Amino acid sequence: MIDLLLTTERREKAAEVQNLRREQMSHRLVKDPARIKYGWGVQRELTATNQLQALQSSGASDPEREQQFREQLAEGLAAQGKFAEAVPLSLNEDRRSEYQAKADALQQPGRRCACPETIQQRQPGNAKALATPTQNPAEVVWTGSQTLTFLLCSQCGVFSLHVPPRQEGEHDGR
Amino acid sequence: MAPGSVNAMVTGEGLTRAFRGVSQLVAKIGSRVFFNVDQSYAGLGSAITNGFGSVFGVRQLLMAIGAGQVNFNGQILAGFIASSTISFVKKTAGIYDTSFIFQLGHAQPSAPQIFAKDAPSVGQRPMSAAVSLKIWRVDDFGIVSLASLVSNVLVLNGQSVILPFPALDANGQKRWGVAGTKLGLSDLGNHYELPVSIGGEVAETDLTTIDGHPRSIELTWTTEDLIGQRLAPDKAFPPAAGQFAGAYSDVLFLDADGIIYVSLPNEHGSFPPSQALFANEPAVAYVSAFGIRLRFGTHSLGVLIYVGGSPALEYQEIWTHLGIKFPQNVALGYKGRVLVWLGQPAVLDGTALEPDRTYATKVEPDFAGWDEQQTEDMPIVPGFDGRGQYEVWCLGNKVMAHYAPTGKWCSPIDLTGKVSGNIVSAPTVDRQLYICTSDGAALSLYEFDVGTGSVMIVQTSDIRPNGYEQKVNAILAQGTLDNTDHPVKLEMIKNNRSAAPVLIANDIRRTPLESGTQEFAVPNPNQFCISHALRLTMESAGGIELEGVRVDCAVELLETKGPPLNEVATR
Repeated sequence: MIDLLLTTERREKAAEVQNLRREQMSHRLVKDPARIKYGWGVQRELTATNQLQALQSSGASDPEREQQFREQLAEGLAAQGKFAEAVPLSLNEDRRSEYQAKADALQQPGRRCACPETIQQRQPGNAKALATPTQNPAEVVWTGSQTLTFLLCSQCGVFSLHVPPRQEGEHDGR
Repeated sequence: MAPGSVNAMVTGEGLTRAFRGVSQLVAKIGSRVFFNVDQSYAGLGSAITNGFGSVFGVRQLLMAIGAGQVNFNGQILAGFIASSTISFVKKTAGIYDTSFIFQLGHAQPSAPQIFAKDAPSVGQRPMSAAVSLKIWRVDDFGIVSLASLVSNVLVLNGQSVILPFPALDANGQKRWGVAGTKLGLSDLGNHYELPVSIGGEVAETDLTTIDGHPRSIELTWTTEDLIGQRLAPDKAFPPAAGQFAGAYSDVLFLDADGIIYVSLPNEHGSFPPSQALFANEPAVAYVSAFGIRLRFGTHSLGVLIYVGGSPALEYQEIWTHLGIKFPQNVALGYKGRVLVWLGQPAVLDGTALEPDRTYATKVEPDFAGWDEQQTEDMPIVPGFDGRGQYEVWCLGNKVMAHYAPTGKWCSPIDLTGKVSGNIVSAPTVDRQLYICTSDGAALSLYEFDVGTGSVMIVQTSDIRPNGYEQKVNAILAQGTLDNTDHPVKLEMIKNNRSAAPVLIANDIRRTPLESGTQEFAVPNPNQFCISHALRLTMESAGGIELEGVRVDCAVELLETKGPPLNEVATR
């Protein structure tokens, strides 16, 4: 059958159909990394919830596995920007503190630390110093309705939230 | 064989033998849909919850997507439920370990915050330039995440870099990948993977507290170190939600409502949107045949072909007017051809793109009403018995078997009372056909044509010697028996009156009773009729070994004798 399919005519026709379909259907493709992460997070939340329910319905006692599913659930929520919901689910100290830091930033959008916006860094062999920003984009998250950019201060390590104005026509991602 | 025959199997030896029955595999769990994987079989679904999707193997990993409980080799994989993300378990010591169930892909990590170290440690090469870094997640299966956003820019003056890392994820991540810019290019240049020898891949055990920064490593590099290195992963998008997936050569594909995402070669967690293909409708089933992947929809058939390049797969439509309703409606048959229910039994044998729909013309009445009767809980299920070379078509408790080498159809096989519930799937494992049935509460698995026998009825076609009434003087009957327990009954159907056959003898076996081949003792019927047929009833024991030869209940010869054709009978 491969011989029947790999003729020049058929392949050209297939490529033509794909180009046409791409024009018609590419709007259904999610291309933005933040929105892809959001979709992955939704599925991860659903999968972890199903796994938890299946484990609880089975009646088997397996605290280690249950916690594993909770960590996965927390991860799925965090990928959707639901950091506050993720905090109580995780027992891993490092993950918890990261979720909490972002949850705190979400509570006070636009709040900045007291560090300067830029710092001057001495350049080797150059009398002129290089001005570098202190607030750098660390993570972009799509919540289903908004794009949130978390900034990380290179001086104090505090997360803050930069919320761009809502674009006209922007719709809920769910 | 004429209508009225039941449980009679055509063979390649000229015999018509009794169906051997079914044998339940009590220790095995059934599934709604099956897949051949890892030299055994896997399945999805339970009696209560339907299963659909895909289960496939990639090296030591068993991956699943869709819906339903995942089973392997007739056993439940506890806690492994298929969902719309590709999940997988790893084989350890020959067993799939379900203590940790992973999802394919990793979330992009946050950008790191890097610091300068004034006194580089011994072995480090002090740097004097503006630099920045990116990090990404790596697991033991070679699956990586998208690289993070860029770190803060650090201008170094004879210093090294301290790179702290966030926590590992909860999805099997074991290491971190690190990429840096060529010296002086900081956030303006591309980020290249640092060689592993200088910290390009970092394990948890490599992390320490440096200058008060926990979970850190110390790094230095030169521009020359980055020559020939790959860019930080910028296409490692995690997979979208979908319904079907599979492995094909060195890529994975994922089917999400008609959009087919193709992974990067050898990068199984990387599904860049730019590599998507588009089908005209959602899929119902995927089948691997003829070295390609067949994609059946409700009204279409398309194929995925490995062509290399970017994307590595090509999608072609074969037809857009026919399709299947349920994933069980398609299976592989004799010599790898594809059996597919298209309103009737049809075959794709790889020599043409259109199906052969004349395959079952001779037995069309036996399939009457099947299309209307099938449901999700009672689908039409084709299958293949590799040992007997029978292509079977199942609905409810009825099985139609086709002896593939000669193209002849057997009589209908009736499994009523022999199986619990309706047939829902029929996988072939190591050439043996299994039948899986569901009674709504449990799935049961049976070996096909392996059991304690059945009651076979062979009815010959109607003979109308010369259009006038004739006298049937004698009947010759020869066959084989696999037991001495059950009589062999012979009846004659005169003038098409099937409902009122004439009993010739309740038992035509010779005495002393014995198994094996024998000429039956048939009393002279002396019946007058215009047309006649014979009906032989035998009950088998499922076959026996006799002097090293397998013997079943079978009919070799059924012949009637009468006066010359030009003679009119006189009573």
